[in-house]
Amino acid sequence: MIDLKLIEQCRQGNIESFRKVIEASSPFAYSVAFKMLGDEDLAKDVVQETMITIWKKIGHIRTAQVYKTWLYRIVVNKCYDELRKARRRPEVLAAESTWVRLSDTISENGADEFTDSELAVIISKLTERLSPRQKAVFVLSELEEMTSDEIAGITGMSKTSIKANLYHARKSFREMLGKYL
Amino acid sequence: MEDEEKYRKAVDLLKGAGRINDVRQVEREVMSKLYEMENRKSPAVIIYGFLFGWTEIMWVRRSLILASFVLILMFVYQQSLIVRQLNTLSSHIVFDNLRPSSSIQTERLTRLKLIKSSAGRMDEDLLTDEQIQQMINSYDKLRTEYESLLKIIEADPELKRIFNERLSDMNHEKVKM
Repeated sequence: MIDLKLIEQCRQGNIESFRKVIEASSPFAYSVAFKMLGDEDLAKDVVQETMITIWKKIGHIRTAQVYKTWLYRIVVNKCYDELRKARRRPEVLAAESTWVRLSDTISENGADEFTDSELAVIISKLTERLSPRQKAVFVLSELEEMTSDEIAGITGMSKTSIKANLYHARKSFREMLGKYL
Repeated sequence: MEDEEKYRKAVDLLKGAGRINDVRQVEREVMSKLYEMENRKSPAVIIYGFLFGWTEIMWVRRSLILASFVLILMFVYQQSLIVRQLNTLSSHIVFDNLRPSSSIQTERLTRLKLIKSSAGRMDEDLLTDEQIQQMINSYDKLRTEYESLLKIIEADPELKRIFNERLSDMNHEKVKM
């Protein structure tokens, strides 16, 4: 993925190397942002801001190993900011047909394809009761399949706190599934 | 269906969400933002541009250069005019309308010298320094004598009366004439 040579070249202002960094990093960043925010446009904005932050601060990175944790940490922090702002935004409503299709897909093991905007609304509604920290833990643990050590490195939370947040997040997610499906 | 199974299937479905469609587009947008940031002007540059940006306009520059040349020429012309005026004035006589006064001798001497220097410009050396000094000495001597005489007359009422009568007679004779 990202090696120290590429980071060093970026540090020296090499734009072509930074293009490679964007190419390699943006799918991970977008995936986390999309799942945390449940909004395509906001997720794209977060990815852009994350890449700009990386360009500005890549000089702080001394080893390639810490890069991925650092990248996720930036994304998660920017998502926290967006979630704080999102409280003032109007609520997005999912179409009834979306829930019917989701229910069918789950119960019949079907492979119905959902559009990005449909998935965004589904995530947004199913995680709407979660706090930003719970969302971060849920997304990183359940949807990105990270270990508690990795999550602790990204979020700065203790393992106990991660477990507690994940427990509440799962519970809330189940309740929301029961409500909509 | 069990809740746990429903949960697992929902989570599995959402795991695949959030795939970026066009990495190149993200790359272009990030690059464009970075370029924009690099070219964003600092507040100092904006203020400088607001205050002095007009100097960059070519026709304003040329007009200012022309105006500065005109002002320099006007200044040179005025200076030459002033110098010419000063030369003319320096060749003129200085008239000093002195009132009779009891000022000290040095002041009178200075004023008389001024009159002499003005007269000198007329190429007529009317008075020498010795003559001026002699004149001042005579004036001072006369003034001292008259002051003593006036004090004597003021001190004696009889003498004052005689003098007043005599002066009155003299004035009367002047009127008749």
